[in-house]
Amino acid sequence: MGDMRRNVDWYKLIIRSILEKGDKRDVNQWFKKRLQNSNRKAYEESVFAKAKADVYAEVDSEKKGNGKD
Amino acid sequence: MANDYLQRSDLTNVLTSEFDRRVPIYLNKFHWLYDFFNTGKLTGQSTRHKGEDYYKIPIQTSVVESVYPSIEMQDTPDALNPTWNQGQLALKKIVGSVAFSEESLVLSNGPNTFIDTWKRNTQGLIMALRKDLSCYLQGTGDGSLGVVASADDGADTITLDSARHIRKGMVLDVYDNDASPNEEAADLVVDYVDYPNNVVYFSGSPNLSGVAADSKLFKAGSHPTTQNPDRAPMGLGVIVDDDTGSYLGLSRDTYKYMKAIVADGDSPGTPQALTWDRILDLDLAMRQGSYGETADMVYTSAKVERKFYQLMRDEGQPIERMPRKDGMPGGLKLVLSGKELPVYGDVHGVPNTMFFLNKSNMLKYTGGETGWATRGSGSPFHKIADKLAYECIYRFWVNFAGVWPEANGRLNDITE
Repeated sequence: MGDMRRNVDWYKLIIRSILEKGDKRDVNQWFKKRLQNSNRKAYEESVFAKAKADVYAEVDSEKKGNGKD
Repeated sequence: MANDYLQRSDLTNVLTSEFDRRVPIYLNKFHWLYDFFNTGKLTGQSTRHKGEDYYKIPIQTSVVESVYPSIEMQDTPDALNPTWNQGQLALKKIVGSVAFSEESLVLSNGPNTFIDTWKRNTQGLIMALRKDLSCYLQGTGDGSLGVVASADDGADTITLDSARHIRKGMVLDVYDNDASPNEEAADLVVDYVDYPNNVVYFSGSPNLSGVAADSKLFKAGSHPTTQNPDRAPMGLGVIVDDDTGSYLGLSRDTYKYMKAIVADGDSPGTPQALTWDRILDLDLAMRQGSYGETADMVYTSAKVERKFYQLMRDEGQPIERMPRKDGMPGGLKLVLSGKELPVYGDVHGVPNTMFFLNKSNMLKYTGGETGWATRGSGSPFHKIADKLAYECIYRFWVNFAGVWPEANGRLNDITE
């Protein structure tokens, strides 16, 4: 099945959504599965890595901001 | 999904003719993008599984190249003929139906009650077909209408990457993004769409607990299968692309000329500002790759069209509007390669992206008859088995292809 090209914003949305119910391991597992069907693996890997780093940094700073850290 | 019959109670209890005056009859409008494409000629038919007609599409890969500088008494150069490859294209069937009871036809007392309603339903159906077609024209051929970002079972909502193809009243299935897709939810009835936030509300408290991120929404019963991974016609998402997958049956990794000209931002996948240099670089690559064939129009999202307007303004360029003409909407004007191109921003356009389309190389292919199925009786009214009720089926066979892939271009990663 073909798939549209996804950008960093879309990956961030998905990673956020997975983190609501799961953890970082679930994020990696989901991406591993997604990558199996991809026709543009190098692109997906770089965009995913950037989105992941951004989201994790955001989550960390939110935690600190909430005094939960 | 069961038939939703037009019944007499719909006509008498709801007073359809009164209702007509307040609600526009044509909820879905005809889409001009389909009309923009030229019609391609089909040759070499064969049939694939499930009655799908398969056609051979000639792909020209080079022109005559036997031109050399020469001197006196030099042997004449060897001829170098143009080269071709052969792509394959399957026609996709699109079907729509309306059903109504005997009573709605024979017991309606108002002089035009049935006819008015019938006209609205059938014309609305045809427009819905073309509206869905315009959605498929943006996609990759899988027929999906949106991708799940998250689902909330308690609130009966699914948040999508973009809800632009979803409308109230649609009945949808959700499938995961696997090579053998698995159903996660079925027959979800769209109750309301919060477009600014891309949230779709469903009626009837459906079970959404199994709906995962990255899954896709399809019209109920039209989901892809392992055997039929691409149920819908191909769209710009796959025609104007440069990934390594297969296009027209040819691997873009092996046959690199099957790639369209695609330009990403500095960091692929991260949106950045639209600039003239980005547009010009893409145009130059297209002109060189396609032997002078250049784009005839630019198709983009409504928000990117706005960014294009701002770019024109900031660069001090004259901002001109292309008038609404020949069934095409009004748009902005871009002068590129000495040619005037209309720039159309559409609510269905792929976000963050501009498509530069060449009219003579972006073709639509149709087969068989387009219209109401009238086999047997010659009438479009078919009696439904075991019921004194009727249905009319509208159908056509269509697909799209760019036959000189490098004549079409795509600029990704544009900030909206």
